[in-house]
Parts: sequence; C-alpha cells; structure tokens
Amino acid sequence: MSDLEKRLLEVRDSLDTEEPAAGHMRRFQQRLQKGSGQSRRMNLLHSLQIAASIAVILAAGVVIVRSSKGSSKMAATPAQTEFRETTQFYARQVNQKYTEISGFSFNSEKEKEVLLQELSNMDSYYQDLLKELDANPGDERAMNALIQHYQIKVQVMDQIIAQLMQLKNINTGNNENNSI
Amino acid sequence: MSRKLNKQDIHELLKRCELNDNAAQVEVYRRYYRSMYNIALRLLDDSSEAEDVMQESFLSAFQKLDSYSGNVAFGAWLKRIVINRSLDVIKARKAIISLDAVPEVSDDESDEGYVTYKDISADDIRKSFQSLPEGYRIVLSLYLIEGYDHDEIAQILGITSATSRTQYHRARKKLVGMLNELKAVS
Repeated sequence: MSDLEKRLLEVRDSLDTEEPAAGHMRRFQQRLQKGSGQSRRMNLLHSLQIAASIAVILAAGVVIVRSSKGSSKMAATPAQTEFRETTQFYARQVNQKYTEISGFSFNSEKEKEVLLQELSNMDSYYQDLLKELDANPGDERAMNALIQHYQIKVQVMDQIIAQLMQLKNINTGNNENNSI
Repeated sequence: MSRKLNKQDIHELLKRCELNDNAAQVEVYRRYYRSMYNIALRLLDDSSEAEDVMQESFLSAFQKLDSYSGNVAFGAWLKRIVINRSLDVIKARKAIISLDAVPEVSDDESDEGYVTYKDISADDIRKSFQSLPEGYRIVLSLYLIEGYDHDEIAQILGITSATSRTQYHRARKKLVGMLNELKAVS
C-alpha cells in the first residue's frame, strides 16, 4: 500500500462530512410516505383480492356440499341452536365492522365503492350457503362452511380496518407536517 | 425517535422496513444517509443531484429488500445502489463516462512526488477530488475511497480491468500533482 493510500485510509471517515441541504430528513419522509401510501393502497386492494378468492373457495365448498348432499345430515336440534347463536354473533361483528369501514375517509369515492362492493359480493356467497343449508337442514359441512365464511370475513374486515387506520395516521401525520 | 429504535440491530430494523414500517425506514436512513450522500456527491459533484440520488436509493433499497441476501453488509449493498444510480445520472447528463477522453498524463511512475502525505488534510483531498475530470474522479473514488478492486470497478463501469488500472494510475498521478500544487500554494 502506498503512502497516499495509507493517508486516505487514515482520513477516510473525515471525507464523509458533507451534509445534504437543510430539510433533507423532511423531504425524505415525504417521499417515503408518498411511496408507503401507494404501497398500502395496493395492500388494501390485495386484501380485497384475498377476500374475493376466499369467497370463491367457499362457494366451491358449497358445490362440494351440494354434490354430496344427504350424505351427512344432522337432525340434532342443539347443534342447530348453537349454529344459530354463533352466526348471530358473527353477523353482529360483521355489521359493526361494516359501519366502521364506511366511516373511514377514503382516497377516492371509487375506492370506497369498490371496497364495499367486494364485501357485498362476499355476502352473495353467504346467501348461496344459506340456500344450501335450507336445502339440507342440519348439514354439518354446510354449517361449518357458513361459520368459516363469517370468520374469514371478520378477519378480512379487521385487516382492512387496520390498513385504513394506517392510511389515516399517515394522512394525519402529513397534515401535521404541513402545518409546521 | 425512541431509544429502543436507536439501538435496534440493523437486521431487525430491515425486517420492519420490509413491512413498510416508516419509523424503521427513517432510522435506517438516519444511520446511513451521510455516507451515502457523500458517495453520491463525490461522483456527481452536485449537491442537489446527490441528495436526490441518495434518497431514491434508499427508497429503491426498501422496495427490493426481499432481494437483499445479507451476504454483504447492508451498507455495502446500499452503496452499490447509490453508485449505480449516480452513474445513471452521469450518463443521463450525456456526459458518458469516457475514460479515454480524459487528458493524457505521462506514464512516469514517479508519482510519489508528494513525500509528506501526513500533511494532507481530508479537506485537501476533498477539494482535489472536486477539481478532477469526471472520469478520473469516478475511478479514484471507487478505488481509493470506496475500496473496490479493479475487477469490481470494471463490472460497475462496464470497462475492462486493464482499462480501470490504466485510468486509475493516470488519475492518481493527476491527484498527486494537484496535492503538490496545493502544498506549494500553502
């Protein structure tokens, strides 16, 4: 190693002392939030896609149940009572979360419309499941499919609410930064 | 910034960055921005462009964190992104890095004319780098300051290792000449 290289190694850390112009941290955070906002919007749409996919899978489950109807019928009334109570519990949860989601401010009315439409589409699969259960009262697999539907719907709605909350926090942060 | 975040291991921070945790991303930026900015500044010689490249490099790094294998230090990985982006800016300026276009310097090997290197300050070196022709500045920065070898520089710049060596020696002579001039003036 030459003397010049040795000297450069000695002063290496002192060469990185230049600072970007004042406000660079704020400018970076703005860029970051802009990027994150886009990313989170994509996540939101991703949640919807997941919800739609799950709904399709559940609908496929209905077809399976339908194709094997009569093979596993249950006459037990207590099971049906428990099922009714469970579905009522989840129905209340879904209603609460639906109200919560509707109360968020969205980036656009279109986004809100798409989101609520997708959730409604999930309900159409629920109606299919109910019809299936009417046709096969006490069918354990149909009842399980309905409860799973509710559970997944509640999970998806929780995920959507969490993401909407994050977006809300970002927007609040942006507004605070702008007001400083 | 919480004390906990300040002390968090970089790998833990990167995991959080991958989940779009803004606080973690800002902490990573806080740790690395100065060195990355200085790398970009040495290559670009323009503070505004250097900040832009530096910040875009962070965003790019966060977006493709899943491709970071962890085989090299995160700083080294990020540095490579900064260098590549800086070179893209230089190319976009239409000042294509033409290493053969820089002035010829005698191949005299007695470039160790500056016998008292201990007198050279970091500021002298910084000023001399700023005065170098772009092609020289890039090769010298990558070799002498960023620590790449000639094979790596060849890969980064799309030249042969032999060209990198030749241009490095020429650039080095030029730098030594400049440092001598600085000393003569002072």
